[in-house]
Amino acid sequence: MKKSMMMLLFTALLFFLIPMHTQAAAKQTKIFLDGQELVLPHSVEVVNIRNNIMIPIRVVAENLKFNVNWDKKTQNVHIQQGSKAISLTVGKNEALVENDTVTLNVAPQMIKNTVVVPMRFVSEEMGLSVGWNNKDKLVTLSSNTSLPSEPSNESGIEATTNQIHEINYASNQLVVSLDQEITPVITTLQNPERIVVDFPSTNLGDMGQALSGGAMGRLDTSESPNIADIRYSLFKNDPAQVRIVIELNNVRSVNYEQQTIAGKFILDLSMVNEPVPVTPVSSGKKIVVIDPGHGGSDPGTTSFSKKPEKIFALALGLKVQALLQQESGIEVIMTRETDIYPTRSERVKLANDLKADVFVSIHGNSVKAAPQVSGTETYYYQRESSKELANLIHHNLIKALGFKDRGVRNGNYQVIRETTMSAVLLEVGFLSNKSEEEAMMSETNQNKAAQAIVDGIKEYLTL
Amino acid sequence: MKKGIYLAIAICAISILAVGCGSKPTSSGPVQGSDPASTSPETTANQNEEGEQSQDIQVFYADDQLLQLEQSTKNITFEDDSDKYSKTFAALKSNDQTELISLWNGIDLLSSTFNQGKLTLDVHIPDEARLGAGGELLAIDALKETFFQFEEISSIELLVDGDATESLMGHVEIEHPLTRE
Repeated sequence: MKKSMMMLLFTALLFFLIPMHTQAAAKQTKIFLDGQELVLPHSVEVVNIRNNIMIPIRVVAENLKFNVNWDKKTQNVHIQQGSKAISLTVGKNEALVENDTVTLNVAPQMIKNTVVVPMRFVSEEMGLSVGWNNKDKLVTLSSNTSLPSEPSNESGIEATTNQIHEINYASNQLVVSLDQEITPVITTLQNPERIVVDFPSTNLGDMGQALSGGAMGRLDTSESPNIADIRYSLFKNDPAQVRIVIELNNVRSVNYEQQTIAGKFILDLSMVNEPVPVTPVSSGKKIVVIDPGHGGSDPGTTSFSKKPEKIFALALGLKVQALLQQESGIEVIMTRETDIYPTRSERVKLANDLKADVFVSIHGNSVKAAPQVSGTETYYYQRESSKELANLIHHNLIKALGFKDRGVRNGNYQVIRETTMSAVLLEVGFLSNKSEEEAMMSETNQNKAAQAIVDGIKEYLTL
Repeated sequence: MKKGIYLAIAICAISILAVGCGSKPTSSGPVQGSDPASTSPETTANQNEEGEQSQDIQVFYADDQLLQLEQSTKNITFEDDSDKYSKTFAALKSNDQTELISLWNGIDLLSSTFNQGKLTLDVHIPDEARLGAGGELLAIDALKETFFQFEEISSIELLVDGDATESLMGHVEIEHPLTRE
């Protein structure tokens, strides 16, 4: 229960912000675009991976204002700006730039439910030049021409700063009360569908007092089912710029009209609703989710010959995948196909969202303090269907590998508890046991184990 | 009912300590009434000349096949409360019994602090000390069983390298803090 709440919270953090005061942390990476500091949303972290600055795709979309499309299923990030387009994939070192393949220093990664991409690569491909001041952790970006609508002070007169006094939303109308008429810059973004309204040279008046730095306020939109969220913030400091983001909910398309009446800016929205979301089930095939344990930042245990468990789990998982792909009645989905770390909640969510029929998590066991301990054990959690699946796979594994039979056991593990289908966790053998590790690392035995797992799954699905 | 027995044992323990004090009037030890050992039901604390105390405690390990928890009586010697908890952890990680497996072997205790019923243990887990799914569950149970024998501990905040991580070894979620169930 608590965990599912955590999961919800994480998902929410992807798109929303918790209003909070920003801290002037000395080591925090700051990004300047054309001399102006980007006020990054509070929840957003810029990470440094082997000296590559990685930024969440949300920053690419909201701060750099490129069009970003995220396809969760293929783990693909598509970034577009005018005629320039690049395509990156989580965990892959290769990216596509207008159909040419280029190699990245660091592959995009999924960190805490957020996809991060290499900043220099994305910026430069999009026509920005990038500078890095390591001492002060400053990134400077400068655009030549192509960036949309940066507020400028070119008039030569120090623009007097406008004030916003009130923001309201009702009956598909956003009403912003200003002390001077001003035409905001409006952009639409996808995934999720958003309308971004930027007011240049504008500050939050009375209503801004409770907010500081990158903090954010939000409107009550509980009576507007088409609106997921409306948030506003002082987006830039010098000169001031206020940003209002309207995030839409289940909307297929949106049109808007803007007008200014008596000092009030009014944005009228007309939305076409999305039909009820379709379930991803296809073609009557059984969906099997294979989950190679650990990965990325979580190496799992270390084997007798000092190899990380995640390597074994992935190697075996990919062999199971290859065999299942030959089955016409089965569609196989992997929680990971590379050395990345999806959280356990993400693995569970993937299987549940797909309405999978079978979930198999693959692990290698270990107890370094007792290297003589060996054998195969298989876990299920309470459900009879999971127990049946566990028995079938376990039986096949024991037959195929000939390891000691440690039994089929009930175990309270998140990935088999929170998944809603038949789910098992395999501890194929002990990586801390010298001879078992040797066997588990051999191609022959991995192929045998993969076949045993597939046989168990097929028996369970009566295919 | 059980409470009554505990109380009786506690009173016995206190009176034994009181007698101890009486027979050694020159000892200027700490105030015995606040000694947590005196509230511990199964055990009796003894104090030697250096102000060190020794106590028999129950420590939980896995059986030699890593299938279930087994308890074993260990004697620990410590100077004060904080030392008691680090010595208990040291007992938990010691792997000197052939028929039992230490589930915390190889895991380092970085710090332990006790404040108002909450024991905070900060540990470092080298990759090779990580257990499989079964071992990880047993390890958490062993820690809880072992530390919750001290009545003054009502919860344990278990940190890995200073962080309240979602899991110790990647299979089991851990509550922050761990509580008596």
